[in-house]
Amino acid sequence: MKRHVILIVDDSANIRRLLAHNLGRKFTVLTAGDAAAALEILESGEKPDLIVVDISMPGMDGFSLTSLIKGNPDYCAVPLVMLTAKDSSEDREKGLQLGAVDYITKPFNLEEFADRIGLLLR
Amino acid sequence: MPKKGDGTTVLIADDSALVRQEISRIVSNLGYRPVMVSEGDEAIALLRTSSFNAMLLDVHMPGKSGMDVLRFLMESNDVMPVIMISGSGDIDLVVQCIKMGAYDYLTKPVDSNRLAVVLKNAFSECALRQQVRLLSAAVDQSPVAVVITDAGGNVEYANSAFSSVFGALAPDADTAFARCDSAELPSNIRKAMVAGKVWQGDFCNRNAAGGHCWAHAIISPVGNKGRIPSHVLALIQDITDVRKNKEALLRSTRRFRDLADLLPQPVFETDRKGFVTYSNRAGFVTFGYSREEMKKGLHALNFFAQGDRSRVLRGLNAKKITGRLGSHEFRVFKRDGSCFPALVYAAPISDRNGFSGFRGIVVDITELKEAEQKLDENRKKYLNLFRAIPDAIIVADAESGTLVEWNTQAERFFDYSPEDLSRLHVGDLYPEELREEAAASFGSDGLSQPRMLETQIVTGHGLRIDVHLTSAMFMTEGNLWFVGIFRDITEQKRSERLVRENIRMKNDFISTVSHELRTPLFSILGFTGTLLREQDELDRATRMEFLSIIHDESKRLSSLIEDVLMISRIDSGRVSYKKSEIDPSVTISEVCRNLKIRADEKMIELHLKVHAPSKHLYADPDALKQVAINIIGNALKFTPSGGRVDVLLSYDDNSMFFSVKDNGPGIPEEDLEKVFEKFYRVEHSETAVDGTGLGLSIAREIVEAHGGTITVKSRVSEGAEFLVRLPLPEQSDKP
Repeated sequence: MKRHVILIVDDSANIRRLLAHNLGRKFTVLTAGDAAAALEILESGEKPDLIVVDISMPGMDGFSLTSLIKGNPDYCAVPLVMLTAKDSSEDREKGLQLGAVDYITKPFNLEEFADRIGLLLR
Repeated sequence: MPKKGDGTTVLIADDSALVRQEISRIVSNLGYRPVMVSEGDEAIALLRTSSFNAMLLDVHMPGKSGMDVLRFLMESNDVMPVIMISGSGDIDLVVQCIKMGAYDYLTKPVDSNRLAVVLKNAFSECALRQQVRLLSAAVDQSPVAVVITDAGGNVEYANSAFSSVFGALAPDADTAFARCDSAELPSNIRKAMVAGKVWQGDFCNRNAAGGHCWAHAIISPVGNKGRIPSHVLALIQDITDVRKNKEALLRSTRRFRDLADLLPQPVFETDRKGFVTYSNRAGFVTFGYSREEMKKGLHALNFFAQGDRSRVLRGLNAKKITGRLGSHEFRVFKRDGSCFPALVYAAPISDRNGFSGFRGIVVDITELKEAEQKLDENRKKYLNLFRAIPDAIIVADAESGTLVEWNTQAERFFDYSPEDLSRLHVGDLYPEELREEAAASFGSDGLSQPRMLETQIVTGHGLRIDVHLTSAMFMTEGNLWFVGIFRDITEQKRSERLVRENIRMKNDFISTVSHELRTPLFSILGFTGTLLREQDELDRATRMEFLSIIHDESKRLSSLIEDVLMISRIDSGRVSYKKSEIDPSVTISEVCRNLKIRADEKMIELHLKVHAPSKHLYADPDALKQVAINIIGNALKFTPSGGRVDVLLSYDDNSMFFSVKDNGPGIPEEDLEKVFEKFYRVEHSETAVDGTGLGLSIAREIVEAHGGTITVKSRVSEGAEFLVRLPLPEQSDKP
């Protein structure tokens, strides 16, 4: 069975490392430090099965990246999960409105996170 | 009595021409003028048209006889004496004629001497008769009642006026006076009669109609000289009307005097020279003079102050000319020298001879004056109060909106001269777009509750000021007024904005801090969780990698907490700097040495240059170290590998300059001011930079607390230069 590919976009190298390690056992994990790097990966022909996006990032933020992805017919069908330390309901609403399937606030349980990703990919 | 030659005419009537001529001749000789007729009818015809002094009448005549003519004369009431001429045998006829009223008779032939005597007597008799007739007619026709009684009081004569006064002719005096109301009167009259003296007086009597009448009586005894009076004459005049008028006048005079005495104000009259001739009771009481003093001579000018006298005289003279009543205010003096303010009303009095004095009234206006003064004081007090109120107050006519009153503060606040304000409409005080709202605050709903609103006004110089306006309507003298109290709330508005801004910033700060805390915390939790879960599966290198990440994140969390606490202390003013005299080059060199390791790791060249000679600062060394670490650390953070950071320390006479210049990506111009804001990080996609985002903000707070400034110069892709200037201590600041 082919492993699912997951793209993680987060400006914190440590978080990328943490998620890559924890999700890496079940999925193939690609990481990007900012929106530009993420778009570069997508444009290179890589087609992830799921994208995890952090909201606060230097440069283009997670909301803008989400709307770009959802506005592109090539990727709009890829499920997208927002991951953030921002826990205001406005931000959550905004994320879901933009097309995110889930909105997860830090800190969270990594095992549960992996399970949720698995569920979304089924 | 007719005298000879004075034109006395004698009518001679006789049928015998011989007798006629004989008598005529005698009459002529006596000096009288004879007129002759020969028949009775002729005599009567002549008597109807002419009058004669005497008549000689023949008894026998053809036609109308002498007796017929005599009868005619008696019937026509003629007083002319008639002397009958008869023959010797006519004695009976002659007696009859005498009875009828003939005066005398002569027998034919007529003796001239006898005729002369008879005529002379006849003339004096005629004169006497005329006198009596005149007297009795005068008494009879007199409007004064005339009564003559005998000594016993029996009425012997009463004229017609008596009966009209008393209604009817009384049979005797007693009866007449018995009707008298006054019991004394009859005895008085009797006494007068007995004494034979003249009595004169008034009495009241009941008249025939049953009413009262007043009469004035003069009673005098009548009698021949030296004899006891035989009669009493009473002249009685009806004086009822006179009496009534007099009584009415008396009553009216008394009434006015009583009225004047009832008046609480002094009322006075003076003569033409100004001496007081009358004063009512209040006049004597008020001024303290006695009636005797007034009678002795009290001049009106005594009541006025020396200085006022010419004014008094001028006023009186003017009134003398115009004749009108006028009032003047004076201080009037009492007998004891005290005085009071008064209004003196005076008008000239005139009689048949023209101006005869003054009449007037004095009104004490002490209370009025005191009340006026009190009112004036009150008015001044409230006016001063109104002016002193530190809020700007304006009063406008609620109908027209014209400003009518304002206090000193309003002139200052609205920045208009009083002349300009008086020409303004209340709407002119507001900016154009607020006029409608302002106009709604008055006029329509009349006397309602005071209204409060926050609005803006515009001054005479176009300056807009935020105000709190309290307005109300009030009513005086039938006019509706608008009063507005304007309070400048610029300061309040500013501090409100500041408070709002502070709250917003605090909220932002808290939300940012929590976000910044969550990220390292999440890493720590995540990695520790992973280590615990996979401790048997992980190789040693991975475990070491994870542990060092946990360590770094913990350090980051720790310094973040330190910075947040520092900012919090700075914001709440709880930071105390321990200032001392320090050499900044020592501090900066130490910081550079410590940061050299980090620079080397990133392969950044870190250069320090210190311009000699070094000068001393008066500052907190730890705080200065913090500033240097934050700024140099910031430069190292943003400068990519292989870059360069230059630190320069220099001085001029007054300041120390500490400059940190890098050749990193630089800061966009629009962000230059924001770099000192909390949690701000210049966005640049290539580099992800760790840090709290509070370093520069802490550095600025410290520098400013030391009286210095921190600035930044930068252009995108040309690096950035931060410059700190700190003042050198003045001589007096040195310990």
